[in-house]
Amino acid sequence: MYKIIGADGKEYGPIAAEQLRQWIIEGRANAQTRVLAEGATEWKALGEIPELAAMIAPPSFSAMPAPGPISIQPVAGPTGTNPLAVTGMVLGIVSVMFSCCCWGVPWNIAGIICSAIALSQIKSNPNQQGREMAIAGLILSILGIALAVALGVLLSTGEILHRFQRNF
Amino acid sequence: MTTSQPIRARPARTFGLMVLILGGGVGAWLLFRFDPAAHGFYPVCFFHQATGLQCPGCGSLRAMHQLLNGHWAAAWRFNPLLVTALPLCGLMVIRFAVLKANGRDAWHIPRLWLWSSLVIVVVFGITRNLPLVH
Repeated sequence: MYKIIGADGKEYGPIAAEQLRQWIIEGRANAQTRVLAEGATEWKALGEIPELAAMIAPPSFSAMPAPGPISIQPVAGPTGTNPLAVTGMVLGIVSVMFSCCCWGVPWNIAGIICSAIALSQIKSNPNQQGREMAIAGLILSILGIALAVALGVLLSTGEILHRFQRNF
Repeated sequence: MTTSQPIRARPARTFGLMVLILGGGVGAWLLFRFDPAAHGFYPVCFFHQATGLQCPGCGSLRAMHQLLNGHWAAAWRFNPLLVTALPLCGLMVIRFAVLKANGRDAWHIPRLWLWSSLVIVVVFGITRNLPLVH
């Protein structure tokens, strides 16, 4: 049996190892979570307790040579569609729509950031859906920047030059 | 034994939401108070400046100003896409809340909806510049 300190600072438990495994899967506990094993006197990080650290990495990875860095990585979040992937794609569409105004900022920048974060989150948690949405968001946001830069260059070279020739 | 389960704290999300609400509020007030058609401090469309044509987003600031002042018809003339999209966005928020309340995957949006909205944006950008539509 184990007791843990949640992200809200409250103490939970005692719970069985199987329950704790479930919480790790659901992202409620991770390698940094403070854990007090039954019989132990000292709170430890979950990642420091071998039998619990093993729960963090999937079984296929337990044979990898470097268990240290794995246990430091933030634990995967919930399953389902990644919110940032959806946000990234919506921002991508908006950044194409508004690529013509003030260089498409902030839509394209926000779209790239959201999509990139979503991609890395999905990479560390393959259960999450929305990878192709995040990629679409990234491509659309970059397209938005490209359109904005192309228009900006077109404008500053062509139009302004034209006005100068007319005025002087 | 505590029965409730630990909740993950999301300070970054709360901060982002507050920035969004605050920024949206200030933006809405500016748009309500100052007509983009009359005040020069609003961003101007590169595409319109360079080509004289209207991009899909052209007129959305002026349309927002008209909407905030209750002039639906004027808003529609400035940018019908925006006027159509806003209530749809509202519906999406309601859908999100309903799915969330039922414990479903609220962030799951059918891919077709997103892709068709992109197509609509592009098609609208083309058609609004055709001489037929006036």
